[in-house]
Amino acid sequence: MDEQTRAAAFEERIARCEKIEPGDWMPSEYRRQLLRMMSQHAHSEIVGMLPEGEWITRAPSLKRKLVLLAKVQDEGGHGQYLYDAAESLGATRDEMIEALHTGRAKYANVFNYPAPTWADVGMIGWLVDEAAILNQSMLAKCSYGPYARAMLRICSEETFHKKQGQELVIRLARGTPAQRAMAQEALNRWWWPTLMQFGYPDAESPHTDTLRRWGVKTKTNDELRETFIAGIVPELRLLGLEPPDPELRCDKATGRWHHGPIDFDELKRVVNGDGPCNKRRLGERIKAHEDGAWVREALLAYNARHESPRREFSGAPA
Amino acid sequence: MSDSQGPVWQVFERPAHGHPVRAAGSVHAVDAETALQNAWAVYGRRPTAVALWVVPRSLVLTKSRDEFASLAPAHGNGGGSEQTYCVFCRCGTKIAYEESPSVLAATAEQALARAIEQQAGAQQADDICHAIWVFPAAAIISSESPTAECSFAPQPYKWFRDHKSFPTGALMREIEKEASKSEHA
Amino acid sequence: MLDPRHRAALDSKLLGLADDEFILGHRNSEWTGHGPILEEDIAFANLALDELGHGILWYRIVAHLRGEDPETYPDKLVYERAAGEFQNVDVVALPHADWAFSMLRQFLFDAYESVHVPTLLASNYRPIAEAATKIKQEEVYHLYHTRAWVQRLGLGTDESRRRLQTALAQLWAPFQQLFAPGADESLLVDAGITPDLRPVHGKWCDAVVPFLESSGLVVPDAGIVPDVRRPANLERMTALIGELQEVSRIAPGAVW
Repeated sequence: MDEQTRAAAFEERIARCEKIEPGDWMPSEYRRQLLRMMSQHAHSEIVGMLPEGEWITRAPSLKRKLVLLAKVQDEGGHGQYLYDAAESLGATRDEMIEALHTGRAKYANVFNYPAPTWADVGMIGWLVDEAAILNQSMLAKCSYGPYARAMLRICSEETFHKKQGQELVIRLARGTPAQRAMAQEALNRWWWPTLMQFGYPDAESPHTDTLRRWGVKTKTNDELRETFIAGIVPELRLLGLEPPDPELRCDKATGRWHHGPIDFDELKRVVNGDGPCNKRRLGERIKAHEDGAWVREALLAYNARHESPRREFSGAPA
Repeated sequence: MSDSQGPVWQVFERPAHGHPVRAAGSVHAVDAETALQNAWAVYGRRPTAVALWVVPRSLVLTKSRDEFASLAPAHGNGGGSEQTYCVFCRCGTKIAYEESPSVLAATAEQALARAIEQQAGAQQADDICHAIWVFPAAAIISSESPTAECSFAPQPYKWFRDHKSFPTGALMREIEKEASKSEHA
Repeated sequence: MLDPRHRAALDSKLLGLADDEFILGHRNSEWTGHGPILEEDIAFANLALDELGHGILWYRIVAHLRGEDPETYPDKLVYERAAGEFQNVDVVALPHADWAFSMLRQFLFDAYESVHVPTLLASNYRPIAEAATKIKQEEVYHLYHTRAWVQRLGLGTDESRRRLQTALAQLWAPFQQLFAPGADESLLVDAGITPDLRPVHGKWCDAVVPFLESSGLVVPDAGIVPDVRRPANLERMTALIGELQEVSRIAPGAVW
């Protein structure tokens, strides 16, 4: 079968909603795009542990503390599912980590922004996770089997993530003046970076059509952004919180939301390394990995010498 | 290819007692004991599994429908004695790999060919097998094993992972009611 | 039911048990997102969650003893006490030095729980026996996990053994504090409410010392338990509690 026939057969499989498995024939561009998407999605989860993770030790109540710890742990777990799905296309975890650390691979840009107050934890949990959920529900139907399976597991675990962020913000918005001010300031910081998460406007997104045909992207960037705004703005306003956009309004006639211009130049700059926290976030990941090198070496050395017998711990109670 | 985090282990989960096992995902680990513990940390932290298996990925032979035709025939002596091979298939519109009846075979390739034969009977679209995994049953490290040192009891319900602990819907409705009351006041 | 002296001794003992678990869990939670291997980052967070949860179980019993609401009182104990009022031993509050340090500390603690918690099952004070039942199952898994790690680090490379040995030198002496009785603890022992810690210490040494040695380590000494439990270093606790309560102090008593 020549390349063209194979490609046509491939697209027919996708049109029939069949899942593509690692051993199947696939266009090299499909393989490249999926590997890029899965590994960058994994990197985003891992880097995403950092801004909220900073606040675990300072969480202001027992409920918040345990919930935040469980949530950040979940993000690690989601990164794990995604690295493993990406490995099905031939990259090793070490290779993917190296790509992240050297800047060749990207991660969700939103994590290049700082989380300077407790309220930022709530905004990240509510806004960023809501945006992620919209994206993820689409990916759970993705044509590539391992990615779809990872996303199903992630979606089922994600339900409390956004809710814990929203509940945190609700408590602040209904709390003391200091708490309310903290919430509004955090919203001011996270609104635009979250809108940027949906990517460039459709007109400037070259891959959308191909990705749609390949069953990887079923909604456009603008469609998702619109859905996000329509869902979240009424709720924010009910809490007395206002996104920092004087042009934000809903057209009563069409039900469509209009928003002010998004600074995509800022997005480009930050994505390419010039954001407030890029160096710090990546620095923390690199440090964790390097500090852990002796640990990984120890495990490999132990394994080389021992057949992993299950040794008894004497004195343990029956 | 070597990986500083150790080789990959395929993880299988039993969702409930008496249920068949299905593929869950994979973990990195340097040895079997760590693999089972890592699997438990990653796949067992919610009460979605009562037992887990791990199997070295290197021992799992996987083929999808495209590749079935190119396989060697199922019969004939592969040489050597036969052992039980576990079979997992992804069939029809299902997205997960689920346990199928195991086969006896002398090699993994033979096992896979026999598994394909077993699946060949399925004619309905619902049952068509898209991809198969086989691996020696002896390679399984299981949390259900009677010699397992640790009981790996299924995780109890943890309130801090339950979305019911965050009644945002009810809270927002309450706030909406208050807002419309004060509008009419 | 309990006379004032027994009540005071029990109150202090329970706070000690609670603070030990909670502060250890708090320290371990610092590793989340910074672990040496992704799978272990996830696993260690489970251990931290469990220890924090155990702390909360004990705080609830303090609430019960004081006639307070067990749902809300634990938060008061954690977020409204001054650093000097925490009753944990110093070793659980030590900042982590490296992975070997944190893993060894957790192992020593899990080994302590494995010999201590079963004795609490027999307590005449029912809330203690009930809490011990809940804790016991999780601790079985903890010990299984951390001892495998200590073994691998001790018998891994020269560097991992060296780091583990350094950690043992830092942890061994302060760890013995966990087996030191509080001021009036003998009252509780006589009443069958809590166990005599001397045989508990003996069992712990019998299990831990040979295991550490078989993992390539030199154990500093036989484990010298002080006569009475000492609270943690105040400067250390002031920094720790200052961080823990940093946000809650913005609006004390507020709903977060």
